[in-house]
Amino acid sequence: MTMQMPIVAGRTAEAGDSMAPPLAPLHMPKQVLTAAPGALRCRMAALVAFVRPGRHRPG
Amino acid sequence: MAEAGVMQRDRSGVPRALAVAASLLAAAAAGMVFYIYGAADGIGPIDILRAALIFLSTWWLAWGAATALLGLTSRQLAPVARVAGRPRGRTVVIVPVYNEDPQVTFARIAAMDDSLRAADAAIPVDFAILSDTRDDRIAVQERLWFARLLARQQGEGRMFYRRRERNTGRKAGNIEEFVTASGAAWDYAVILDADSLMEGATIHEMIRRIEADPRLGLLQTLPKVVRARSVFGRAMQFAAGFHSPVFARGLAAMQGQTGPFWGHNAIVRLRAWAECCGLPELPGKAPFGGHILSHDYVEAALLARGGWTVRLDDDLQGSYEEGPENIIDHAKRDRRWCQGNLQHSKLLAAPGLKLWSRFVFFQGIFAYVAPLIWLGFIAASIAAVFTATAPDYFPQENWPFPVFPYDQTAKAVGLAVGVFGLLVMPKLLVVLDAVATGRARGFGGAGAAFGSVLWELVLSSLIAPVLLAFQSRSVVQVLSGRDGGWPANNRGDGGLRMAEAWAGGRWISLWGLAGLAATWALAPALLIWLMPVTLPMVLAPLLIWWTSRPAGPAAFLVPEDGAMPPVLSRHDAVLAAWAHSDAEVQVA
Repeated sequence: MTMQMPIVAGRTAEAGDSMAPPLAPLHMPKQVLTAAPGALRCRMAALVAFVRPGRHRPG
Repeated sequence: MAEAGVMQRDRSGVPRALAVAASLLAAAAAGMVFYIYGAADGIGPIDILRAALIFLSTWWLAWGAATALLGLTSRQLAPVARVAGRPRGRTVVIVPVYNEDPQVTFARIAAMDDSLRAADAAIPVDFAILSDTRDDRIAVQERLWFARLLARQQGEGRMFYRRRERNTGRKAGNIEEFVTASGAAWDYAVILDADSLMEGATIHEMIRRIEADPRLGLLQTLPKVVRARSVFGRAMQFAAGFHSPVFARGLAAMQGQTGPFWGHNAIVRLRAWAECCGLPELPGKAPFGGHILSHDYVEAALLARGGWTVRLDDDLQGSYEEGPENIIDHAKRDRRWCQGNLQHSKLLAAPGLKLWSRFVFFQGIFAYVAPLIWLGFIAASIAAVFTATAPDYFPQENWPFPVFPYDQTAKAVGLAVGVFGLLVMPKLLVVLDAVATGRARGFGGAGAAFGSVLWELVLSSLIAPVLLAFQSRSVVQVLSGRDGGWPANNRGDGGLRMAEAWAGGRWISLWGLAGLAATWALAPALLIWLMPVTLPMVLAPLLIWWTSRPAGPAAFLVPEDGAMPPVLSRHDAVLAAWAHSDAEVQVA
């Protein structure tokens, strides 16, 4: 929560005073920065499947 | 409408490949030479360890050298796109403050506002001071000086001030709160630090450039350090003004769409920022979990992940900041950067990041691990004395003549010269380039510039072991779980008393003496080799004190000494007027 403390020279600050930044909300979602559980295992499994010769690869 | 010079194509692939290849080649060569050197008396685990440590250390030095060489050889790119006429987007200059001196900080805002109106009064630029000040006495002063600022600049309706009740998330949280509450009122935001100054014409040019490229999310300038007075401060100021532009050009050549963000003196597209830069708390406790300390690198990576371009325009002048005036203040700031960069280890595997962004995180982590690698090499070299086998002069049975070991001295000396060359060669090339292009004139001419480079080399060699000690301590503290937080920056003349320097550096002296004693006892042959490291450590308090002393105006000349930038002059004038004014602002 923001404590609005705008001031104007010579008089007491009041709620809604023009010195505070205007109210103009912008949605700012939290970003995902950590891999989902199991995501790393999935990626490793995919990598292993790619490099290991197996039934699905010719020759 | 954008002017000619439209969007730059991504030409970063070749420079990146060249830099990576050259640095790996140099590292491999150094590692191989050391391996052969170690093999002279038989290969053991210690030799393999030392070769690996040399490989890693050399790679880091070579990476810096490669960046400098790229900067020296990069040609000027085609002119960047910029809108002609009056930009349509609305811009706000954000100034986060945290327990700063309000008079000095708000005078900077007055100076920049004056500079903006002098450059082009028809381009409206607002200001928002975002206070996270915890000290109520300073907060009262902020309100008083804000009123002063409003009166002087007639700033009602375009200059704003708000103070947060709680500084959740520190600077990143401060900006996030502003963007979520008020961000839709503007298109672009110029993010500054409390000690930043920018020419009005520069801010206008940044607005023109970001408006001309709809995919440009962030445009970073290369700030110059100004107002340094101490030996340490002026040396750093000189290095930033003389060498950094070349390194920055090399960085710009490799940046592609994923350039750097250094937290200030940059302009961002607010819509892109809101979409991409909402930072979560990392899982776990500080120092690795919790709020992200070095948020700027993460924000740049997230903008790139979101498909926005992050770009460093190293040609933009008129961007300034102040730096620490002594080693203690530098170490305090560096402690925060150390924790912030090591915290990025939790983000190396973050989903969706560009590969170059991950590499930037890795570089930041490595910058702080590198001193420990050097320390490890020194320790391993002392240990190697005990594991070295005596030469076998009669290795073959029934052969009566002795076989003497092959002398490896040339390899050891060659390696030392090579490593030293990686450190010194880029700086010497920069000074030769500056003389050839005439840039050295701004630094006092060819002779003075060369003298400053040599003097800076000597000084940085002297204080490097002291800085290495501080960095190593920071890394150990972070790895052992100690949260350093975000202490307020110490601004001002920065001169230290001997007692303060002793208190801040005596532990380094003790470690230096211990290192000397251990080397003398265990491996006396290495004593002379380790003197360049141990002797400055022993003298750390003296070096810290001496480098905090005033340097004198002729030391480490920079262009701003001869021709003070207009916005700095404006700042001085406002400060002088406010210091002598009798007017008082009443808050009823």
